[in-house]
This record gives sequence, C-alpha cells and structure tokens, in this order.
Amino acid sequence: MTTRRVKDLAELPRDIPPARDLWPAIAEAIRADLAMKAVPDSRRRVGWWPAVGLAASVALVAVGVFIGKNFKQDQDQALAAIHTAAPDNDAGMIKASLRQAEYEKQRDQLWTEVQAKLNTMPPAEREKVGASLATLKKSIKDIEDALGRDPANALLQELLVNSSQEEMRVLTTVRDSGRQEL
Amino acid sequence: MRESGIRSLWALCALGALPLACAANEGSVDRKVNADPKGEVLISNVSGTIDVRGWDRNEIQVTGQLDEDVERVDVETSGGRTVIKVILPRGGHDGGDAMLEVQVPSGSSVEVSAVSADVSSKGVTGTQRLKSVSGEITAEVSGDDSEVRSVSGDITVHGNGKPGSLRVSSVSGSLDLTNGAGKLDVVTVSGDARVHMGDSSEINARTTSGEFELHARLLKDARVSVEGVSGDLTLDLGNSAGLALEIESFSGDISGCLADGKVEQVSKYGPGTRLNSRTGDGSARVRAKTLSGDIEICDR
Amino acid sequence: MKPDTVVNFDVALVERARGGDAKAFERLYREHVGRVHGLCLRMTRNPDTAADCVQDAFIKAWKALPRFEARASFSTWLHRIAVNTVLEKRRGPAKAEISVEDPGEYEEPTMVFDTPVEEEELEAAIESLPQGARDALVLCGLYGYEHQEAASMLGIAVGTCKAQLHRARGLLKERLERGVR
Repeated sequence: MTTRRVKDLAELPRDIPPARDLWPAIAEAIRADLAMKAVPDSRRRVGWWPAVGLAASVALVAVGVFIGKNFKQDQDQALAAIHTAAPDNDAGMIKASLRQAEYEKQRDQLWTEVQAKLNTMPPAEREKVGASLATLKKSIKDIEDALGRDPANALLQELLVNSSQEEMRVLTTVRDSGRQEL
Repeated sequence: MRESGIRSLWALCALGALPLACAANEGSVDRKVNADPKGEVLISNVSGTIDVRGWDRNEIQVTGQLDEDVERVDVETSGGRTVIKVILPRGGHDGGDAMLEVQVPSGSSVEVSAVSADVSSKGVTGTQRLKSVSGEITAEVSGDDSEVRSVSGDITVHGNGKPGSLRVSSVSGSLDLTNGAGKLDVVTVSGDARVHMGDSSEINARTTSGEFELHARLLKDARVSVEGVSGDLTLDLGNSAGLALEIESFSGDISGCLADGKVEQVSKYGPGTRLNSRTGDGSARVRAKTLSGDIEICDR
Repeated sequence: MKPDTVVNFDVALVERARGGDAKAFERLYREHVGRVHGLCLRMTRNPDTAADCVQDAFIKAWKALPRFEARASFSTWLHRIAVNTVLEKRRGPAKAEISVEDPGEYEEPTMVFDTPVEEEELEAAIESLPQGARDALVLCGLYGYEHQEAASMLGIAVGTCKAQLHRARGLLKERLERGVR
C-alpha cells in the first residue's frame, strides 16, 4: 500500500478515529454520574469506591450481608444500602472494619458448626455437600481476587455481596438441616 | 429400654390413655382423622419416604411401613392443624425408615420436613413447603405459593401452568422445573437447574457453579434476574414480550441470537463484556450476570 | 494557523449537555472524538493508552461542563482536558532537560518540507521524538495551537514550549533525512 506524500506537517490528518467505539464506557460513567446527582448531597459517596480498594469492598460486603441478614433482601436494595452505608471518613472506615471483623467471626463460627454437621452425615452425602460448600468458598475467593485487580467494578461488587449472602444462607441451612422443627 | 418403652406405650394405649398417639410400631401405620378441607398438615420424617396425595375427602389418612427402629408415628390434630411426626428412639438417627403415605384434603396447605427421606407430593392445591436434606423431592404444585428446598437431594417440580409463586433451592441437588407460570425464585450452588416456564412475570435465579437453563415466555413488564458465578446460563425466551437486556460477564462469553454483533467491551480495566439491547417495546427486563460463566440468550 | 473555530451547533449541544442531556453529549463526542483521539495517540504513542485517555477526557469533560464558559471554544477546552489526561497518565519524569533560551530567537513553526515526505514516514518520525519535543510539535505544529495556549496546556513556560518546538523541528528534519523508523 503506498502512503500519500505531504509537504507540510499540517497536512497530516488531525482526525484519527479510535479502533473501537469508546462511547459505551463513557455513557456508563455518565449514567453513574447522573444517578449520583439524583441522590441528596448528604448521601453521596462520590469517588469513594475507586479510592478504597479490596479491603473496603469486602468490608462493605460485610455491611451488606448484615443489612441483608434475612437473606431475602432484594439485591438492588442491598447494594443501595451498601452505598448509603459506605463510610466517607476515617471514623466510618473504622466502623466498617469492626463490622467486617464481626462478619468474619460469624462466618468462621458457622463454618466450624457446618464442619461438625458434615461429620455426622453419611459419607456420600457428606462428600456431595462438602464439595458444594467448597465450590461456594472458591467462587467467593475468585470474585475477591478479580475485585482486588479492579476494585471499582460494579459487577464484581454485586457478585461479591450476593455470593457472600448466599454463603451465609447455605451455611445456616446446612447447619440447621435435619433439625425436626415440628 | 426401647422395647419396654414400647410395651409401656402399648399398655397405655390399651388403657385408652393416649388415643391419638397410638400408632405404636407394629411394623405398619394406619391412622385416619377428620380434617379441615383447607387446613394445615405438617409432616416430619427422618428417613424413608413421605408421599403426600391430595384427595376429595375431609380426612387425613396416614398409612405405611415402619422399620423396627422407628419408635412410633404421632398424629395430632387441633384447630384445623394436623401434625404427623415420625418418632425415633431418643438419640437414634441411624436406620429407622418410615415409608409413609399421607392422604390429605386437596385444599390443604402442606409442610413436609425430612432429613434423608424422599418426598413426593401430588394432587395438593394449597400452599406447599417441602424440605429435605438429602432426600429427593418430587412435587406437583398448583398456582398457590410453594416452596421446595433441599441440601443435596435432587428436586423435580411440575406446575399446573397457572400463575403462582414458587421458590426452589438446593445446595448440591439438581433442579428440574416444568410447566411453571407466574413468579419463580431458584437458587442452587452446584446443582444444575433446568426450568421450563409458561407465562412468567418474575424470575430470580442464582447459581454458583451449576448450569442454569431457562425456557420461559416473558409477559409484558416481566422482570428476570439471573446471576451465576462460574455456572453457564442459557436463556431461551421465545415468544416473549419486548425485551430490554442487561447482560454482563466478567470473563465469560455472551452469545446467542440476541447477542449477535451486539456484545461490547465494558471497561478498560478488565476483560468484561456486555450486551445492552432491546427488542420490541423492551418492557420485559432481563438482567443476567456472571463472573466466568458463559451466557447464551435467544428469543426464538 | 489557528485551531478549529467553534461550529455554531456545538453551542446548542453543550447547553443541552450541561442540562444533563447525555444524548447531546454523545453527539459532541461523535463530532470531536477523532481529533481528541488523534491528539492523545500522537502524544502517548500507544493505542490502548490513547483510548483510555480519550474515555477519561470525555468523562472529565462531562463532569466539568458546569464550569465551561459558553463563549470559549469547546474544542480547545476539550483538547486541554485531553492533554491534561495524557500528562496525568505519564509515570515518572520523562521530560527532556533543555535550557530555556530567549523566546525571541525562535521563528514560527512552519513545518514545510522541501520535498514531499511519505505520511507514514513522517508519523513514525514524530513518534520517535522525545516526549517534550513531541508534545510541543503535536500541539503547535499539528493542531495549530499558539505557543501560549500550548504551553498552558502542557504546564510549561512559553519559552520552554518554543524551545521544545525548535528542537522538534531539528530532530524531525534530521530523522527524515536519515530515514528513521
């Protein structure tokens, strides 16, 4: 292919379209900005998500899990609750860390109780349920790893909140299974 | 100890002291009590089977075979509520199968709680709450509110095609739902789920690693939300109202006739892909998201 | 040489975008993205980084719309944001060390070649320039900004901008003669 010849720098094209349409990501940011503007000032958390990274994301999951503790909460509500609760100062971050510690303690306790429960199950069932629980644990880890590389990713945040809530629900179900409630 | 316990119980029954509890273990059970046509029936069994059948009599009949390790079956009724409970010796959880068939007025609302017992239900038009830990659950549900849950048991549910509300969940069991309509909530961790719905107004589904396959006809203004982590999602929405799609996957592929040529990169940070598009008036909203599971979506 | 003058319909679109009309902003994007991208691409020399800069620049522009003065040139304002974005993206000091000489010494940047040059070769030569020289050349020589404007965009003194431009011309000539790739 022969290129054209120019005599003046100004003859070079100024317009070079990008290889792909960059608008969708811009549109997404605009939507987020408009949504943020629709929220009253006191509840805005502009720029908070990108700033804080994985640890805080996980802390907010803890908040979300507590807020959605009855496991029936609509996921939009849970995410909105998280954003509302998102701390915008050091004191808030400390509170979130405390909730994080509480959440982890409750989660660890549940895992211990579930392990004890698994030990009472027949081998075939223990293996089946144990494998499912391991899958759940791994999936949460996979999401956390991805979130660590991209803390502001809304999809990952949503998946983490929902999967963590699901984990608590499943652990509770397995722990309480077989208790005759009637 | 247990034998003498049974002998004493039998003695008391003979004296007429415990008329209702007298289903003491002779290897079988056969009890009948009057029941409210729309009363509550609660059934509990650890191991064995529980088969619930709706009939047109205002009576509840409990029949079945009991292993020798089963102490007794209690049947207690009061104020429109009947409780049927398989009693094992104190501390006994091994063996002790009870194979029960329970006939209930078809309009009853039924609640079953089993550990390793398989559960089946047919001909019941009231609400149903069926739970088993490792037993399989096979149920026909009507338009009313129904809930079916297991930990490792497989679940098979057949609806009556009339709009209702159904919640189904399993940890590692598979889910097979047919002829449903109306609202559906499905949760599975590693079990695969196959769902066939007719006219649907709301579907919420979540899977961790199980595959999720949905065939549904979405009504105008329907809301569908499906989330998976590594499980693949297949959404077949033929004959649905106009669709507004919000489909996103962090690292999975998005494909299908509705995706052709419309899938785009989400952002600069990750591999994420997204499909945002509409068909017709876009009144039925479909959201589907995964971490690494593939998503296939088509409307024909 | 002057940068593009404001096209009238830009004003109407900007006003609507300022009011929260994302569609109006999209039309502005469609109209200006080629130029903004060309600018970012030549400054960054990397298509992926350039794409990132373009996206960031438009997002920043959207958020900064309330501060945009309607009388000013939207195009220039947008390019300024884009240049800022590129500069922010750069890691570590990569500026050429060059003394600021008397600004009066430098003639206007007429980059006319005695014999026509292949476009591809010229783009490659520009790409090979050191960062500071390249920035000045792209803004002044290619996009037609005055030294003052370009210097302000780049966050450098006017004299430095002129000096960098002079250096760019010299290096470009040298590399074209050598046939640099």
